[in-house]
Amino acid sequence: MPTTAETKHSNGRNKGIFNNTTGFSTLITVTVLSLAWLAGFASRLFAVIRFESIIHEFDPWFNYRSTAYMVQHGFYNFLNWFDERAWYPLGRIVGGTVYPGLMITSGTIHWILHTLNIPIHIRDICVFLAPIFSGLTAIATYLLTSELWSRGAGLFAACFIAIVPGYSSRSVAGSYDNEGIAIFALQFTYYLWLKSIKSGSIFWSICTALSYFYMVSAWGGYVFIINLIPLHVFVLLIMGRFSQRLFVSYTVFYIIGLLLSMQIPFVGFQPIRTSEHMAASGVFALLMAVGALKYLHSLNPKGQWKQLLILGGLVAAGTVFLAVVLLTYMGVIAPWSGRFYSLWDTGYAKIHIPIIASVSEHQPTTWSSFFFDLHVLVCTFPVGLWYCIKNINDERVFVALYALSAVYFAGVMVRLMLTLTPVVCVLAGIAFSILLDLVLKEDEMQTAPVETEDSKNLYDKAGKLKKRTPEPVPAADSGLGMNVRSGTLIAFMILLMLFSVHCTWATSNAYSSPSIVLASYGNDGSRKILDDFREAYGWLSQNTAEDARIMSWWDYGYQIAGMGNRTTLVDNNTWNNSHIALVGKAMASNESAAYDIMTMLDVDYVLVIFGGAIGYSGDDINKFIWMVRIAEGEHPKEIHEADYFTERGEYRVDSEASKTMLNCLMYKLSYYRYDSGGSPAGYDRTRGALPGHRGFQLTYLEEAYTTEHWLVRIYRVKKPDEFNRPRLPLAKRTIPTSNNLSKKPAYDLGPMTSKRRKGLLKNKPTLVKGKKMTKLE
Amino acid sequence: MKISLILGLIACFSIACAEQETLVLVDNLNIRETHSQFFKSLQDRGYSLTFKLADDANLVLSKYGEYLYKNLIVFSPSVVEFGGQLDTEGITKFIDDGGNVLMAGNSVAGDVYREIVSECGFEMDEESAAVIDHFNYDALDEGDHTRIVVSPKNLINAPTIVGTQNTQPLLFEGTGLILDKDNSLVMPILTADSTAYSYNPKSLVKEYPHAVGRKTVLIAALQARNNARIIFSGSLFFFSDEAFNSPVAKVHGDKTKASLSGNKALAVHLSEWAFGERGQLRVRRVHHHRQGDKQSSNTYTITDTVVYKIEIEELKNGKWQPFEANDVQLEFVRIDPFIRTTLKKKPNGVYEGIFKVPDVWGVYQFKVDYDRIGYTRLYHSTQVSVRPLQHTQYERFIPSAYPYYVSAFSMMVGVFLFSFVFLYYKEETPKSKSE
Amino acid sequence: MTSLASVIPKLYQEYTTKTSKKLKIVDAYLLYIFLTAVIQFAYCCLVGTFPFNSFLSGFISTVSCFVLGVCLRLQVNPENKSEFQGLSAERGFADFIFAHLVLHIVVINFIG
Repeated sequence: MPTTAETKHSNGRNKGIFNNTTGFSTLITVTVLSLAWLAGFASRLFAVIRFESIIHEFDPWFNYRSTAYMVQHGFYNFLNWFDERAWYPLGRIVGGTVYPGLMITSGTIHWILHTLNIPIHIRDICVFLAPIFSGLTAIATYLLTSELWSRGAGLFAACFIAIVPGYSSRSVAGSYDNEGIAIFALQFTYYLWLKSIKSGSIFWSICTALSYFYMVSAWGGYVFIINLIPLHVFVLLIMGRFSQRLFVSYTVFYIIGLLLSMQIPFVGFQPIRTSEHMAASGVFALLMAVGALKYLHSLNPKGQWKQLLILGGLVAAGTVFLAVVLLTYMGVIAPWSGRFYSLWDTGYAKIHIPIIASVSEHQPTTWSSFFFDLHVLVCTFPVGLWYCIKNINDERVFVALYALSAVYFAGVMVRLMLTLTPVVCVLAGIAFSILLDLVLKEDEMQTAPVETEDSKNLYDKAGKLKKRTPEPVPAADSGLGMNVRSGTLIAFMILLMLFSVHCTWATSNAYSSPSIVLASYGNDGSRKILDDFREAYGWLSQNTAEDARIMSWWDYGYQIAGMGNRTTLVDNNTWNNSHIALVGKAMASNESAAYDIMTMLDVDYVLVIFGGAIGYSGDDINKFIWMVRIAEGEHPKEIHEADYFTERGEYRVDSEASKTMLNCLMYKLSYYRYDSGGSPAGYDRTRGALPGHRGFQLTYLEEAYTTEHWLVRIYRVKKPDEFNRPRLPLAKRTIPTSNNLSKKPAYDLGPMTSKRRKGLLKNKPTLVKGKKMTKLE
Repeated sequence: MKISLILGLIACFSIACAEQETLVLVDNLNIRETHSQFFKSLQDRGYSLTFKLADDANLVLSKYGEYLYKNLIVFSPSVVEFGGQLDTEGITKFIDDGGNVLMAGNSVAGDVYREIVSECGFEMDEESAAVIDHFNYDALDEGDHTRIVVSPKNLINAPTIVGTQNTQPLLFEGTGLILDKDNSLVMPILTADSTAYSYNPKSLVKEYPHAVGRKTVLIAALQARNNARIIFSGSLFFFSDEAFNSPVAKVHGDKTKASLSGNKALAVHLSEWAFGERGQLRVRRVHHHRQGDKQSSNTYTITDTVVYKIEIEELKNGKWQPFEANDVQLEFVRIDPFIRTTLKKKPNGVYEGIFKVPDVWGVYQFKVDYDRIGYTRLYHSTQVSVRPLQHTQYERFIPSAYPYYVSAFSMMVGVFLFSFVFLYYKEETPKSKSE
Repeated sequence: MTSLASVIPKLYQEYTTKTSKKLKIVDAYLLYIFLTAVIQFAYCCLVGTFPFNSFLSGFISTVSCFVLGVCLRLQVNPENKSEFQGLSAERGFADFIFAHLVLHIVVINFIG
């Protein structure tokens, strides 16, 4: 849809002034870019149109909450914000544990609009920030690609990135997350880097560093930049492409970037303390050494220096490497973090850090999702890559490295598909540009008028490409006949059409669900909104004490804090594994053991997500095995994963499930009093089973609220003083009570009937007048 | 005007009375006479007693959700089923809602008793069982050796409950009680001697008795977590005029003799405690602030010095007066207590602690948990957050960092000077070239 | 080894003759920065890294000044004209000043 729209538009302007000046081409560029922006923006609005202007998912809720806090209390208070509502009772220093770029960006926009007297709510800014930035990303991609190849390729790339699902998945309206602005910063930094390496100007290097600073402030993915650029430099060195331009741009960028990145409190001293950043400083030292040797060489350019130069270079490289290894070994430099390790060894996280492995975003990517997110681009980008390598220069080395590393990382983690998407767009843009170049070049020479008629659809692209790439095309492809050419053209146009249709479809269907409002479709196609989450969070905010502490699995921490405005124990900022493990342990223990943990943590309410009634598969029982794993990691003596499986190693909830499973808190809280879900009553539609343990009572908790579709269940934890008297249960009594007539029968009759009932006394003395009562005994 | 005054007075009066409203359940109204001294002592202290037969069809504890009575005395061992709305559940509910209960049974007491007692965490021996002590029985015993003499040394060491002057031997006749060992809330007020056991005196001892020796508890008390108090005596006789007035003479052993038993003093003390005349504590005021500040604050910064003050009062003779103790402790807790300190006593029942907040941020609680036998549980917690240093609170201008400052500024000056020199030379060089 | 020893005076000679005076000023400036950096580093080794941010900002500011000085030297060196096309010496100097501006603002922010 976007492509066609844009086509028609520029088509009209194109017609009259066909072969014109560069001023005209600028007009086209601007038009195409603004249309790309518009198309990208429009296709990201499905979520708002279908549902409402609302913040999506989990992390965005935190971002929104802290943005609102910043807007309300000012930047410095935000920087010093100690959030006592999160991670109870540890608290969280938000200012020091967050990438503030996102909040500052939207806060700035809010401030600007308000100084212009445009009263817009901060929520709307947050909702629409990502779509707006997607337009900026398109422009940055255009710049990057035109630096690499040609402006035509740039326009292609900009159009691709505007609508490609791999990027729009993270930047639909309402998905207010770091990635939304970080991809822009990423592309822009790379653009500036190429610019600086081309010109060798300090100015562009400084700009690169500043843009890098913005990226550091926005997303943890900045590590990708600070490793990719040194890698680029290193490869150039090895290829013997050292130049003073390279020296200037890298050294300035590195040293200023280093200093700037340390200004972000969350990053702190990491750039000189952790291994992730060591490659950059190693390359810096190496470049200095090589530069010095080159200089000496230039002083005395004689043969004997040649070997010395190479030797010196090698020695320098070796020393740097050894120094880093040694420092790591001595503990001055922290070794790679677990998250980073899991990038190299995909099995690592599963064994050592279950909390990372438990996130679906961190799973390895499947082939289908490559195709789903990138569609035709995934097939065409190798072509662009090949052309880049074929006509290699300093910049194209960079894009090749970028492509290769991004493909690798995207293969490891679904989430990193995001870093692959821009480079794929760039390379696919190059590929398409080359192709159209090839095909349409001939048209101009031979059959220009015919072509204009038969391919109106793609006319604008053809036109602009023609002008921008006046590279002499040899007569190699003059053999292509008219039919072949137009056939290819039509085929590619159809491809592009299909691509845009797919993009629109994927964005609207797969990525536009806010996930806090669910939609279900009836048999007749009618849509039903399930708003259980907000119902529950609303209940929490209205009916619980201001400082009530809610225990839930960490996924819902941000939402409870954002929508319910209540204290949570753990949330999506998974910085303290042992605290999460404690919650996991409480969920995995039986009721009384869990009660001990809950009183220790002063829990007032427990919130569980139960999808059994409506067949919602992302509920807590399905996540439960991860809770067990995480708890086992910290408390290997109390929790054993195997206890929760059947003997045959199956994970089930029906009568064949293990005893531990049937008695753990999570199970009980999910199935307590559950009688919905179709026939037979109490059938669990998610797992397709009848729960194995039903009709039980809860001792230490009581149900406080259950939403309409049973999706969210909230329980109140009883306080210790509610167990007022230490009553002696019947089983523990040593003296048998012969008959039990006291309360039960009387109670069964109901208080109304027994109200005026006469009691019963043993050997009741009959009162006889004149006779003195004897003592009873 | 006058009417309203009178009405007001009546209202005040009725409220005052309602405070002391007590229901006494008896087997027969004769008990009023046989236990008159005990009831009189209660009435003298301002309790208004309502005597009802335990099988009265109109028995009711609460009306329209309000309790009619504050205290309940159950002196009706032979009850099989309470009349009216009353049953075990009703009584336990009464306890859970804060009512005090004084119960006394004897060896004929039925299962209702046993159930109520079990609900409170201890047990009463089987029907017809009685505490027997062949070595410590009274001279007036009828041959079963069930009218036993108990030394005041067997009393629990808690002056708030039993008073300070218990020197006279005590008379007891009734069933023994068994306490649940795991139960920390139940207190054995009076235990039997090591020679005692609890069994049916009329039959041969065939099985091992349920309670033997000092484990046989004669009077037990429970202070529930809501501070409701329950005293249970195995002997109704204990409270009777007969026991109050009779002399004591032990037949065996040291042959203790006393002209008057200690029952009356103890019974009065127990009732005072049970009905909340003694051992009531409350927190009047809590205040905490940063040292040097006047105002209270909910947030502290790490390593602040904090002053915590708590004012505790005790109910004495119907009036709240400053509480005197020297073992009140304060804990500063974040999951685990980071600081535990004994508070210093200041005048007027104020206890003060001054300490330094630990160097760990988080959400903490000031906790005072004063739980002593005989006193109501005093628990108070205040939540505060301890935050890290703000960005402006870090140390600035550290002496050892001065060289760095100097170097940084020298760099700036260096650039400045260098620019001048450089620009100057830029003009020079072309000249020389042109020359 | 011997060749190296013999090379050094030769190098020095080459340097004094070949280098223009302007570049020598830059070199003097660089030497000054280098010495400051060395002194700081030695001081840090002696005293310990307690105000780590101060040390870092002090040290990195010298390193950056050095780097920028070197870059300026490269850009104004007429021998390198071919490398830096479209970059005049004046442009280079303006960039240099701009970079210093950014640098020192950050250093001041970081040092306290």
